[in-house]
Amino acid sequence: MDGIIHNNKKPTDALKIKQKYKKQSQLKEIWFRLKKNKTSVLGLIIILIIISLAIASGFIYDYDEDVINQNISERLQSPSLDHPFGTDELGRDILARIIYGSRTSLSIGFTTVVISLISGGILGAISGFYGGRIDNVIMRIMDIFLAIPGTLFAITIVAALGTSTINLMIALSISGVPRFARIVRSSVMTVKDVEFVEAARAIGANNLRIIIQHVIPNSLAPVIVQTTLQVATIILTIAGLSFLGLGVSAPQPEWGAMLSSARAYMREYSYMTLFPGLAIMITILALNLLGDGLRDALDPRLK
Amino acid sequence: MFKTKRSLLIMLVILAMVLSVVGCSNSNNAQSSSSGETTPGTSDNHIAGPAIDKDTVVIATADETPSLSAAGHNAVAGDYVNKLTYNGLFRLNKDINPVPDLVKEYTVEEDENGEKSIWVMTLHEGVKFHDGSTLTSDDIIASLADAKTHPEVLTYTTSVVKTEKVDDLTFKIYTDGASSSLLYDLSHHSNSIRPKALIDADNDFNANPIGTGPYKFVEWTRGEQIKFTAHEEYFDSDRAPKIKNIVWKIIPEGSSRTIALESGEVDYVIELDSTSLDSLKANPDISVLEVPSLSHNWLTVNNEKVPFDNLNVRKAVCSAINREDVITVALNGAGVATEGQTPEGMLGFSSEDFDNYDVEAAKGYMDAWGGDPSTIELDIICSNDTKRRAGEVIQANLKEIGINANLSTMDLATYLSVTAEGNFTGFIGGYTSSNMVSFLQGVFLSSNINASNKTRTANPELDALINKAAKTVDQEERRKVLEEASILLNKNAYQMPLYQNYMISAHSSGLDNTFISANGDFAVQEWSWK
Amino acid sequence: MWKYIGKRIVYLIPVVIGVTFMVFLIMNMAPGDPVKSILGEQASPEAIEELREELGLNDNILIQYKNYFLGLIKGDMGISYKSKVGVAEEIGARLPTTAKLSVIAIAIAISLSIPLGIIAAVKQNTWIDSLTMFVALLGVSVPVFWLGLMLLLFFSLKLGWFPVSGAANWKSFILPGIALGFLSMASIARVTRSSMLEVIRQDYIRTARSKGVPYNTIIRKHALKNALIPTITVAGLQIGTLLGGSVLTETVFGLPGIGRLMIQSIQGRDLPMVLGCIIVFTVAFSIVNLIVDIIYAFVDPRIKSQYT
Repeated sequence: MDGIIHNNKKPTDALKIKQKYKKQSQLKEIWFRLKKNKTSVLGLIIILIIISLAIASGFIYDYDEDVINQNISERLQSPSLDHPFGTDELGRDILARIIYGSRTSLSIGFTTVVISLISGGILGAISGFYGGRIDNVIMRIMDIFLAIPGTLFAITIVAALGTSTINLMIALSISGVPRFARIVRSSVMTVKDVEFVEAARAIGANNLRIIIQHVIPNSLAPVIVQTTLQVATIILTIAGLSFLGLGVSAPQPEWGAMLSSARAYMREYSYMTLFPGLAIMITILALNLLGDGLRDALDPRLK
Repeated sequence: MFKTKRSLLIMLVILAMVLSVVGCSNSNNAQSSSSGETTPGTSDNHIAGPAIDKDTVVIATADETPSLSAAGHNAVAGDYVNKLTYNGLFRLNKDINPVPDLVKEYTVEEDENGEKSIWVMTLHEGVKFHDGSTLTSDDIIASLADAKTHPEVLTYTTSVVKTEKVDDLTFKIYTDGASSSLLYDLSHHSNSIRPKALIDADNDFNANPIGTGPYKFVEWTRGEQIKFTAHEEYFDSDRAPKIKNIVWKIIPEGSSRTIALESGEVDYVIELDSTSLDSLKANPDISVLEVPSLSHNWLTVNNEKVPFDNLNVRKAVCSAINREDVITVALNGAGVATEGQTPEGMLGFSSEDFDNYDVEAAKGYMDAWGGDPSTIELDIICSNDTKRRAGEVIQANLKEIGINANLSTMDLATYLSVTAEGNFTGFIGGYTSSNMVSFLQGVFLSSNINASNKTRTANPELDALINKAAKTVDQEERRKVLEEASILLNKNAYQMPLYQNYMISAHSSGLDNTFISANGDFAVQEWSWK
Repeated sequence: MWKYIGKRIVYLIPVVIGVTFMVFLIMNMAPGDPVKSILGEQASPEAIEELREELGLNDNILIQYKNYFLGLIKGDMGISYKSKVGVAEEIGARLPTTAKLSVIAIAIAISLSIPLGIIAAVKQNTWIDSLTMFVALLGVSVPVFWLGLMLLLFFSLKLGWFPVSGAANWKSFILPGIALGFLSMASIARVTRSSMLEVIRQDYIRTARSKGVPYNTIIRKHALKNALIPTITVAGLQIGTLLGGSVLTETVFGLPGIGRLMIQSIQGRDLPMVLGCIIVFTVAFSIVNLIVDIIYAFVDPRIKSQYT
């Protein structure tokens, strides 16, 4: 660091190089540590499988024909070779619906997390960077959001706006904002006063540039971990809300909604409740394994 | 941290465990239901107490009553419990005809216009309220007046125009001309009779439901149960309660109610989930009661929107729907297909000129219309799971005649607003009433557009028939008028009736004298243990 | 110290005001007329208008909020649209059920997770460690309502050991407690393990060890006390998760608690009741957080010194 400050020929370039090198090595090191953690790799593999299934499902199944259309003559069939997971009360193949359900969960999960990440990130960055009154106002508002347990908050919003996929996404995005805002704010605050940022400021780099070049790369690590875990939380919340009838609405396949309608048939056709639940569990487990591994890889102290 | 093999192994073991657990439960269930022997529930029954306790019946129901007061709500769940603590002047019998309850006898007198609008009624003598006071005409007048102050039950309190005391046991009720609905309205829970002294004292009938009914209120554990005990001084010795204690238990989930019945936790289930109907019918310890309800369910289209203003289009849609499939999927078979625009089983029903399921006929109507079916925009609103399943079948049916319908889901509150205001093309709905006149008034009278007339039908000929029927006291004459109205409706196919669902209750086979009538009524006070 | 507590309590007030205002606004944006859902399909326009007036729904939204808030200060949470009973009274009747459920769940969670966490830490990097941590991870991954359904299927339906619905006696709370507690158990076990590991590595433990104090005694007498501080914090924070989870758990097991009341009220557009439930949840959540912070302040000398 000292070297950079005293290098008065081309300080910014040197800083860039240093940063780039640092970033690369950091990512490399993280990847290296992650690879060593076998369970996280397992989580990663499971997630990749689920994602590829979700993408490939469009080729395996015809959405209208296999996932939505009812076939009353084949309703409530136990698992068989034709229908490995059985059929539901409308004669639809449960396996096809579970695989298509992964599309629903993953796409809503990732989109909402990206939305809350961006909006939370911006709010947190502003808050942490400028501090003072702005910080105070933003964080007090965030406190209000955080004072309501997440699931309850999402339920409230969906209840008010009405049950639909879009409203569900709005609810989940909003409830994710404060957490990201807090993380980004605290990493911004730690980075803000670090020497190389002060140096950059000293040579007249503007705020936006400092944020993009220094603050963002440095808050990346905790944000990645939070993103992974947040996707897991969101998928669980989607399932929970759909189970209560406040989430994704029929006939679109979603695991929680499938469990909700399977519940009436639980007594005689318990397989209907088994498989969607397993699908949720495995997905969340994989995301958690990966998130844990990432956390360990990013913060070796916790090992 | 982990060894890969181990973690994989663990995962497999856990998976296998879960699978075997559910697998076991599945196969065991199949065994018990096929062999018809003791079910796992009853064999392991540790809570056998209530089942042998001949002093108590535990009733399970899906919805908690919003209130124990008679007039402050219009909920079916509330109607059930009101029947325990209160009596009306009249009540509906098994065939859903009003018969005198607190009233001993009555006559109808003509007014100065020669219309039979003055009802002179005499009460039974010595009827005791739960608080020990004796029923008089004053209580009647106070109760009917109080009911009129509650907007929730406005529909049922308008037929009484004026009341007048003659002596302690005799009073007069004035109606607006002759009225065929008065006796039905007096049978409604909102017109239950309560002591004048308590009404005047602003008693909270929700906390302290004092009436003359067969059971006295004991205790309400919110969300859990309500307890009642027999009213020893019940006025009608023939219908005095035989079982001492009633526990009214709230079990919201259908499958849970079934399991609770099988395990002996409860003795009577009011709303039985149709998914478990077959296995319960095969169970010798359980009796199932099934009756087609008077609740008429349909696909409604907005008659003000093009092309549903066209009779041929409506007839095409009406004959394109496979009602048997709808019933299989939506109700698990627990219903009957409708054969008319009005509820079967009510006075004046007719199936004449009704469009039953017939795809060829539907296509014929479509051709007669001459338009392109693929241009028809139909968005079917479904406000619950059953309706959604029905909607999915209809969607497939309409595809056959070239109509691409869309399904949308809405919660009940939004659905009610949207449909009342006419901002829709189609929805699946229904209407429940105890008599044909109030059914027709609610669903088709043009003055109810923007309220319960959701097809937005405005047919002067029909209005005239309905109003005529409302004034016709003679049953046979009324039947003729109503039949004419039914046929007129069948010809016009303003909406597409689907089914009348079964009311299904089930109880421990030890319970005797049970019945349910087509409007879902049952009489706890008539039950006894074998 | 009291200054700190006082400051935290004062700080709660704007949060509660903010929450109520926000929820009030959100719920008022809802489409669908609450009056129509009270009166049902067969209501006449006159009846609807009359009830709207009675409930004060024709007023301006800000006036409605002002009236609501003034009532709230006096402990009046309004009247339920549906049952016409005081919201506070209705919630009060359900509160014991939710409280019992939460206490049982957290008790199950703590009594299982702390030993698990300690064993995992002591046996670090063995298969016992792996297994306990895997179970813990499973705990955070299982949807609470599905676990509830599976427990119901096996223990109530197949074995008939527990009632399927309701809160009639203590037995009714066992399965929901396990389902809900499992979720928290996982998080607590993980924190216990890592804080235990941190403590074990501390110098004074090593010193004690080198002095020949038996390992079990070290764990019991020295390590445990210090390792449990973060555990308390996490256990407290789990209350938020528990409250959210209680909505689902109560729905699955038919428990008459606040969570189920809230869902029913949402479906019936019973605005005062929904607001009341959310406020109770929020206040409970905030109070637990406050207590955790205070406990933390007592044990953490850094915060203590700031205010004395």
